[in-house]
Amino acid sequence: MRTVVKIGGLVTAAACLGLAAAIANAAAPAGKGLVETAQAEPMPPGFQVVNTETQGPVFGDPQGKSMYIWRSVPLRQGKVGEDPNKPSCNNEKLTMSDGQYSIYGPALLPEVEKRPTCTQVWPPVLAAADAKPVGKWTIVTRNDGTKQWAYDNYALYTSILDKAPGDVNGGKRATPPRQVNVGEPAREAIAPAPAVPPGFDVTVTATGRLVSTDKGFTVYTYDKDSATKSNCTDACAETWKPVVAPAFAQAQAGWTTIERAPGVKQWVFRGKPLYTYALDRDIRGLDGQDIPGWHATYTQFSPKYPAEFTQRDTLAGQVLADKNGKTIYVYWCYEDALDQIACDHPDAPQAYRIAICGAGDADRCAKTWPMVRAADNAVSTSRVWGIAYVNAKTGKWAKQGEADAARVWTYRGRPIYTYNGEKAGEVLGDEFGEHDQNRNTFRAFYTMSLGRFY
Amino acid sequence: MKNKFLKQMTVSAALSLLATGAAVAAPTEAAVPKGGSLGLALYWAHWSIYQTPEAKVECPNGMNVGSREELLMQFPDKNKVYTYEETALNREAATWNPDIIKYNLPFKEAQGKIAIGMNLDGKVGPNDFTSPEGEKGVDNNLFRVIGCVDGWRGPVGVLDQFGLTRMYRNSTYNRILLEITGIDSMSNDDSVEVTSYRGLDPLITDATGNNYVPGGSQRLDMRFGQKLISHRKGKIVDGVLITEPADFILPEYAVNTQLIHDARFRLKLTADGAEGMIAGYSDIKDWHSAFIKGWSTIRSGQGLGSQPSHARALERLADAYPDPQTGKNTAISSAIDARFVQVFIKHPEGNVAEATPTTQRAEQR
Repeated sequence: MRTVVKIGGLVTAAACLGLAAAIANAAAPAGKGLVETAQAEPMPPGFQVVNTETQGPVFGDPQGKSMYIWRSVPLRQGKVGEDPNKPSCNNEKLTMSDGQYSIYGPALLPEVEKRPTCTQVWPPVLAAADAKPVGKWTIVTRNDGTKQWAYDNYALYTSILDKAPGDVNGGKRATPPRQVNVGEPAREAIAPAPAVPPGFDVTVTATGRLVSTDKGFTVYTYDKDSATKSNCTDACAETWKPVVAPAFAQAQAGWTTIERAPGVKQWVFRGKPLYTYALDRDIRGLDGQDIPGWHATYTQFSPKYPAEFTQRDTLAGQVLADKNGKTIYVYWCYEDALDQIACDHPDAPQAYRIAICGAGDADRCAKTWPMVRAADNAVSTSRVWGIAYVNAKTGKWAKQGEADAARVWTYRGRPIYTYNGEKAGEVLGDEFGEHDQNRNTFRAFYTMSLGRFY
Repeated sequence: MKNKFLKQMTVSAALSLLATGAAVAAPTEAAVPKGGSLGLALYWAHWSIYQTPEAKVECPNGMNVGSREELLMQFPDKNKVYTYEETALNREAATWNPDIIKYNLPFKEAQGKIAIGMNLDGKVGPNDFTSPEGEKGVDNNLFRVIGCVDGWRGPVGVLDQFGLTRMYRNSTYNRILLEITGIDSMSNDDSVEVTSYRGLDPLITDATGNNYVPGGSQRLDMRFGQKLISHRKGKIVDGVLITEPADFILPEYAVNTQLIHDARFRLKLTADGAEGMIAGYSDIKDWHSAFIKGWSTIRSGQGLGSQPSHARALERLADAYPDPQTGKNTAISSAIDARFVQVFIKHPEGNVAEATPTTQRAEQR
């Protein structure tokens, strides 16, 4: 689902106590088709807010393409990424690995003769000569003298993996980790702040944009409540803590309050009073959803996974599984070079993946970690879940009818896999890969994880 | 290290004397818990390694090197430009696919006749150890694998995964509980039942946050933790719980589990919990998986550990559970020093099967 809202020029936000005016597409009734609203923010002419399937509203360039920043991260032998106002992604072709966070010294990168430059993969969002800064949007000068847009002082780029407005395939992962994982440099799409009151947060999860308190406690609603009355009182309210609103809280798009006791206001979102669950174990936990009548709160849901998939309980949480109950895995990879170019999609060198999954043997890799085939009559109903032809052995794009071409499911433009070293309902293949499972690694597709880095 | 070693000796001594049938002064009778049930939560666990000062006895040829040093052995020419496939990907391939990579860099196994552990097979053989307290027939081949790797040794070896108590503090993924039921006496009881579960709740600490205190409650994970429920019979002898062998699965760091065949518990019960040993035959695939997933190449290198070398040593020293197809042993004798804190276990109300809904979680409305 994509909704594009253009607000350019010198429009300014009407911010008051953080309850800024929301962009159009405000409160839709609860249920399917929910769309998140974002706080209005001034943008350069032509720039826009694009609603995406998994990330909610993001900023788009004049063509609607998602824009990314790349904050620098200290690694063991140095750092990667960009410092504020210092774009470093350029047109120089890097040929050697950098060993920034591994013990492996510099070495010649795979398929070096075909390796693209950073800006061939991450084109900079260039600014016209007469462009003027607007709000958080500033202009930086690149090493070659050209001007580039920056947001919050970080230079902006688009991704060649994004094919249409609403795609956010450029970053490594769709969902942020539950804990900050030092040493995980990743490009991230820039987005306007969600239109939520102070004290709330919205986070991308596998199932949608989850609302939590700013301390990370998932926020829930109760079937038996109405827009004007909470029916969770006394003992119920000891387990389900009402999310209290300040006395001066004002209604905004989708957000209202009720007075559950004299002088005590409770937040209400889309007609349902909000609570946290005292027995949630982790940040953004979902344990409360196991209690009949209670539901975690989302500003919008991610597209439903393909009909032939299921969800299964495992020792480490709930995962997405294929029709045989085998856990589905995504694969992440970016090269250990200063430009950190991705190596996890069919256009990239497959040597990394095949080393891990097959010890360098493509046949063994295809047998141990087969791609998830799409049924002949399967149809993609969203952009994030796609179907493509990929060579099952080489991992490269293929055409129908070619040798070893397989019709497979993709997630964010990349094939997904199962692991033949485990039975249905297991996650033995999870975190199968190098460097703390941050790079060149297979990860289970959790819809709810008990692990530390999800 | 010395204090830990002495403390280990003290506990092990009492337990080993029991094993040999020697008389031990009975502790003061502790009160039988209400309902004859005692709950324990594991909060500290280390693979048992017999350590002498400067490792002179068990590692006479010195300690092993780690990943970084092995890479220098493999690629000594600093002037040569290697390819990434030759170096990093080759080593990672060996790490993640140890069954097909030929890897023969030198590795030093722990030596000597003394090791901490239990007599798992009931025999006294030429390759067995004697415990520090004199118990003969001790089976602990895992000690030979990790005994001369700096990172596994106490008191704070960086690879000592279980020793990372923050994992027990921060996560409920590896919240292992034991429930001892049918207790008539905390000193001597010839028949109790011991069941393992995974718990759902954090452990309670004191004001410093560093020490676990007894008395917390633990709900049981009857949904995702079903695989971790196991049962065994036991007895209490002079205040020590001794169980019969039964398979036990220990959830570990990250997303791993360690299957221990024929696991036995030998735990001294105290007012606040229990302390002692878990011994059995650890599945070597599980052990290796925990190592390579819990510690990337660079991190294992910090502890002078090398995953491919460990994989080869595990394969070489595995001494039980032969694969019916290949005949190769799949498990290795091992022992874990373990500490538990007392908790109150709260069983779910109603029918357990009905208490595990399958549709609510993460479903979209």
